Amino acid sequence: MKKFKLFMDIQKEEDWLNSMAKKGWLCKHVSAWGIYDFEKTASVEQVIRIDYPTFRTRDAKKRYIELYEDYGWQHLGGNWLHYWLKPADGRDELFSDQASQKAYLRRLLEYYGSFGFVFLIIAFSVMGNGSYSKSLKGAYLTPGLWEKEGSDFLFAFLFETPFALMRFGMPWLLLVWGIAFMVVYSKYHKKAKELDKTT
Amino acid sequence: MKRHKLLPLTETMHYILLALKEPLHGYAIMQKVEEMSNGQVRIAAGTLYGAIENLLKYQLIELLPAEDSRRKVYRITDEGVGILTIEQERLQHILSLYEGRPDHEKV
Repeated sequence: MKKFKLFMDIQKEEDWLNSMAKKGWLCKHVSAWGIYDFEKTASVEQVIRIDYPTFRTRDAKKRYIELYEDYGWQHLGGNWLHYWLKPADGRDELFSDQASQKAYLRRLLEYYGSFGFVFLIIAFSVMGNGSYSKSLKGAYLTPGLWEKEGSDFLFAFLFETPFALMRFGMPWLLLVWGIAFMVVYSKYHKKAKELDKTT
Repeated sequence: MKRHKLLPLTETMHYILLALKEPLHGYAIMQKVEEMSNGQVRIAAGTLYGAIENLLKYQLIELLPAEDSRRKVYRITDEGVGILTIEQERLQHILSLYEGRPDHEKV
């Protein structure tokens, strides 16, 4: 079974994958763009973890995958975020001390902060310059489009609609994404602060 | 002298450096540490990966040229041994305080 789902918050994504596993739907592959490949299974005692590692070298990525596989984790895919599956045996966490948990949170903050920031900057700069995002009608650029009639108009109108939607919608989409990333950022920021307090 | 960025060592780092007095591959480090700590310290995969990368970055450990092409083997460097010596002195000093010796006395 293939499922399409988009998540902002990787904690929620991880929870969802694990709750699917509890119901007997085991995720076997995660591809880019949010497509999850599930298989029905009888064994429900499986655990999925999402990691966000950074690699200083290409070799580091190889060593990363090798090491996790030696631990019994199965790589389900991922480019930035990496998805790992293992039979539950009581040693089901990726991090075993506070220094590495903090480092993980710091990496997540970088991830959400930089994506959120870039999305917002692009959204604002596009909205500030162009007028496409202010009205959908203004996003149609064909000269004399609105003076055309009949099938002439219909053809030109339908032809340009996908482009107009993109011109009009892209900045709004980026704005919404940017805000969503920032919301998750502040959630993990709070979490990181709480972790700091306990040390 | 400025203190090294990784000092004082975390328990995890400490055990990894001590384990790497002999060449080991990643998973074997975890097993060795578990044995050395009488089962008290079980380093998870992500923690071990991060620690290894950090220690490599500061050149406290090194990758050995691969004999077996699959598994990468690590070993402590002279610099790493130096860090352990600094830590040993620090811990011995703290131990001396536990034992009630005057703290200005050199160990």
